[in-house]
Amino acid sequence: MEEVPNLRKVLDRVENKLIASGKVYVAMSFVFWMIIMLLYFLIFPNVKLPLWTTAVYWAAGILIYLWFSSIIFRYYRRLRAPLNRKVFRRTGIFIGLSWAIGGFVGMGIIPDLSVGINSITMFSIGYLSFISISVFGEWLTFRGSDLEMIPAIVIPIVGIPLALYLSSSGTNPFFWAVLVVSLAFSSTILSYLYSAFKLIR
Amino acid sequence: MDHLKEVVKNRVLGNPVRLGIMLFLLPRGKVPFGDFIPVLNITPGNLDSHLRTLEREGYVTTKKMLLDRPRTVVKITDFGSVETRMYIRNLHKALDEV
Repeated sequence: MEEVPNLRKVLDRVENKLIASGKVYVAMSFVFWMIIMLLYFLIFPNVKLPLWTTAVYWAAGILIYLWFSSIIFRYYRRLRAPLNRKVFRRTGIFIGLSWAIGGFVGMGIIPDLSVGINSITMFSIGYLSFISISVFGEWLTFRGSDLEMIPAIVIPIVGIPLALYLSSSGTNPFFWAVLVVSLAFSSTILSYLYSAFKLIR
Repeated sequence: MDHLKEVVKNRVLGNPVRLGIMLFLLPRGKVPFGDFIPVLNITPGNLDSHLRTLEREGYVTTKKMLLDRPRTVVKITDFGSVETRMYIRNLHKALDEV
């Protein structure tokens, strides 16, 4: 019966490697969004471009991100989605829905609220809410199993009251919101990579 | 012993070569035909025969693709990934029951 513990060890290693691969894939999708955000601030503040180019940049950025994420998602779903066939098929719909709700609340409703705060601050708060709600929805889709996502949910929420404070201090609140999201995503990426290496070492 | 029954019932993944193919494919998604040979240490003919079984059962699909040259690429299906993960889980649980 010596084979049983050995086989169990092999199976543990196989399962851990599969989970670790899934975690690296998710980390890649967070990195990709950071590249889009940071590229904007590398180009736009330094080059005088008409305002409509900003809208085009973000629209294109979101589309490219969705395309890239859908590839990542297919890999991730294969490795981590619940093994119930119906749930497995619906995971993509739930993730898409969470980003759509996040986008609607964060980029649609919040920037249009008339609460006596300037538009760029409201837009920044909306952006932080968009990220937080969307990642929260994604986290729920995977039944809260990915604790690594928590910094990407919590840090933008914590950033909202600070964005309100910054509206009176002269700092560009949107630039600041991007830094908050970068910090949140970097923490999440670090957590994912740490978990992945912990599983395979 | 239900998990053990499930393990025994799966004749497709009960073969170690086919299980090896699926485990190699699972994290990668798609793999060129030739890349399996050094990993699994089998002949191309043997690999082809196992891949045909997996394709017939809906675990994988094969497609000719132009990479550095025209190559056959093996792609795992959603069904194949769920079945493989279930098989590993059942095997694990069956071992716990032993």
